[in-house]
Amino acid sequence: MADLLTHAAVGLLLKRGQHAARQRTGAADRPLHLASFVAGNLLPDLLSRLPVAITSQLHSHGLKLPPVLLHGFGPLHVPAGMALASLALSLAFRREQRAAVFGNLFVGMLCHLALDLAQSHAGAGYLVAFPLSKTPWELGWIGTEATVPVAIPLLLLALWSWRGRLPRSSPPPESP
Amino acid sequence: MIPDRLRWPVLLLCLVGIGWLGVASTDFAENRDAGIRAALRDPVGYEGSEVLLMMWWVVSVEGPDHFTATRWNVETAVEGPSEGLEPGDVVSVSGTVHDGGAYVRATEVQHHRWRTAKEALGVVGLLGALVAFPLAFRRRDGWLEERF
Repeated sequence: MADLLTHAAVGLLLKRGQHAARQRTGAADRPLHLASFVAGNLLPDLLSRLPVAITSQLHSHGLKLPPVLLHGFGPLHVPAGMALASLALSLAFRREQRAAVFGNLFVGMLCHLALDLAQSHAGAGYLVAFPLSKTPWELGWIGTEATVPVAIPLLLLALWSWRGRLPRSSPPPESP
Repeated sequence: MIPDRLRWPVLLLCLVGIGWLGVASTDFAENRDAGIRAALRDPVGYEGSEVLLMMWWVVSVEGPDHFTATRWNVETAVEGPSEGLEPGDVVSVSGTVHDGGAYVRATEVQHHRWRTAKEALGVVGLLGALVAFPLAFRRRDGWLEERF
């Protein structure tokens, strides 16, 4: 996995690109769903890697844990689990926003996976088609820590690109 | 999209689906017919088979061509270049397994020198997310809303 700051920066920059494209086509007033998209870029690691980091540390210190707590979070980092997690999270939003939130969360998560797939894990790769296929795959273009030196500059660039342009979502109409 | 009356059944189905994926993933990790776990289960059958020790911690360095690594409560000796390695470092080792998993003869040792920095960025990112999420979303009338 690339680091979280790089994932956040990539999410912000991709949405900035979409925002700029909409400004050119005169559709800048459409909701951008920046929050859901950037959250989607972060959630695969927060939902799968963070719990495993905690349980594996506990396990390495001798605490006996059921194997599902060590290996069971992995599918939240592959498309099948991402789709289910996005759908579950989108249900917390109003019906009229649900489809857009689901789409932005899910596509954000897929962007996260795409960046991770660029890394080389010595052939280990990711089970991108799990549970249909258990064959790991990755592009292997960059090392697993290649994003570390660029993470902070990239995030600063992403934040700078949004300066003074944050599109506030308009509140929904009041219910009668 | 999903109508409100189906919200809870769909949420339940999502959680069941995620749980099922987790169980399937655990079964795959524990019982796959490759890797160091399989070699430990069947030392004779897997003698000389290829393994990948992904992101293992160095426990000790015994010499220029020997070190010991651990992960998931499995510890194995590695016969391979150990120059620059210190206990606590993270390595990925490709090689072949021997003596029932007692040692791995490395064909490639990758030293993850930036691992600590990456983990530090992960912690910074986590703290940033904890701050950013409440700023990016709000609750109104029992529903979540995006602020941006």
